[in-house]
Amino acid sequence: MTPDRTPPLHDALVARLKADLTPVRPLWAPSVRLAWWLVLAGSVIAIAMEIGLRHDLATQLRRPLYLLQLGTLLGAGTAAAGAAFRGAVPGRENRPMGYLGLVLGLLSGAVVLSEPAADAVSVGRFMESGLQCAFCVTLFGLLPWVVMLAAVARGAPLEGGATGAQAGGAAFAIGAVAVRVACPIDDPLHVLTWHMAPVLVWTALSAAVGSVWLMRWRRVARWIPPRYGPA
Amino acid sequence: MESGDPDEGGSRRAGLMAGAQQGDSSAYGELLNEIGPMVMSFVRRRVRDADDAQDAYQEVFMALHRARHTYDPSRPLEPWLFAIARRVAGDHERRRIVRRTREVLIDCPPEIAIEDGAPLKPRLEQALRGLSAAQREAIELLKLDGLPTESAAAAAGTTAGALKVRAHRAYKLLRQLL
Repeated sequence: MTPDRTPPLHDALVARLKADLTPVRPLWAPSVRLAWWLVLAGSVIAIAMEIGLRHDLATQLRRPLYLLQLGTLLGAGTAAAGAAFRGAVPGRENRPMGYLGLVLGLLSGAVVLSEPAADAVSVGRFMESGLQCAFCVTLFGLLPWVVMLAAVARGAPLEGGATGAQAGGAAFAIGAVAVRVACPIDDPLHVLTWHMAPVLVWTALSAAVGSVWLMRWRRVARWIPPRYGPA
Repeated sequence: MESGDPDEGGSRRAGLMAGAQQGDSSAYGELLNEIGPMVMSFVRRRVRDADDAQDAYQEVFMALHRARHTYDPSRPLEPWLFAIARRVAGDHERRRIVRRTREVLIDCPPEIAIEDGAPLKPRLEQALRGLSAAQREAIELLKLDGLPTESAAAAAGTTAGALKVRAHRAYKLLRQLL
């Protein structure tokens, strides 16, 4: 029976959608997807620890300020990842979780600033070592980013830009953690410029990618009901 | 039929959606018929233009169809459904506002140059078929029946302003089609 208070195209629309119906496997819960992604993120950090140039890592890991930097950055990445996975499911979006990621990221930057500055180095040396670190942040963040974007795109994000930014922030925060455990330079200027600024750049790029790519599922060809079509 | 108890109705709809995820088309049809009036009244409150509201209604249904795998059957259906509807209706209203700021309402259709020897009537009829029913009606009332704007609006059951908007969109589309 055609229900009241529906437009004239309702019956034809329902018939069309019913004809197009195929069984689907429900998406895993965001928490399960986050857990799997964190396994990948942990593996990336483990690889960085293994191949990194930091030989005093065991000592550093006993230093509260260093641990706080890593903890806040890791927390920022985890919160942003949680927000991105929830953003892929309509009605489950969690903006506060995204904001928590941002706050933890800023807190991490503040903790870095509280580290004592190292002796001044030449601009050339600063750039040379820095560009290497920025490249490594990109390298370590790339796989988690691609995996997360693909996972989020399997859902139905309603805000592509925001979800893309959260995905980028999460993935490249993990990249920054990986570089922080691998890079032997603790100078705040170096860490902020070459470890953390690339996270912001990639977050912005990821937002741009997300606003287009993550919204593909909405861009279905508009179906023209028979009464509007050619006679 | 809608259940009297909202909780019972909600869990029934969740069950129907779970059935739809498994490919049960009769459960899906029942669900779509049941949520239709809810979605329409939700969309109408957010999209002012009646034609746009119909478009938004259609887009909500298409979107929920595409996103059906993201629904978690252990949770209520309504937050999932209305999150999609809110977003689609919001996008439509935003587009309408942008369109309105760029449109200039005109009373007369643009002059269209006809190539030598090209018969106008078949081409015009074909072009008219490319318009939506509301746009076609506006052109027919204003230009073919020659009614004044107020009378044409009354015949179409709308306001003079809304009819002018429809006619303007139709002129633009006709200009592309001819």
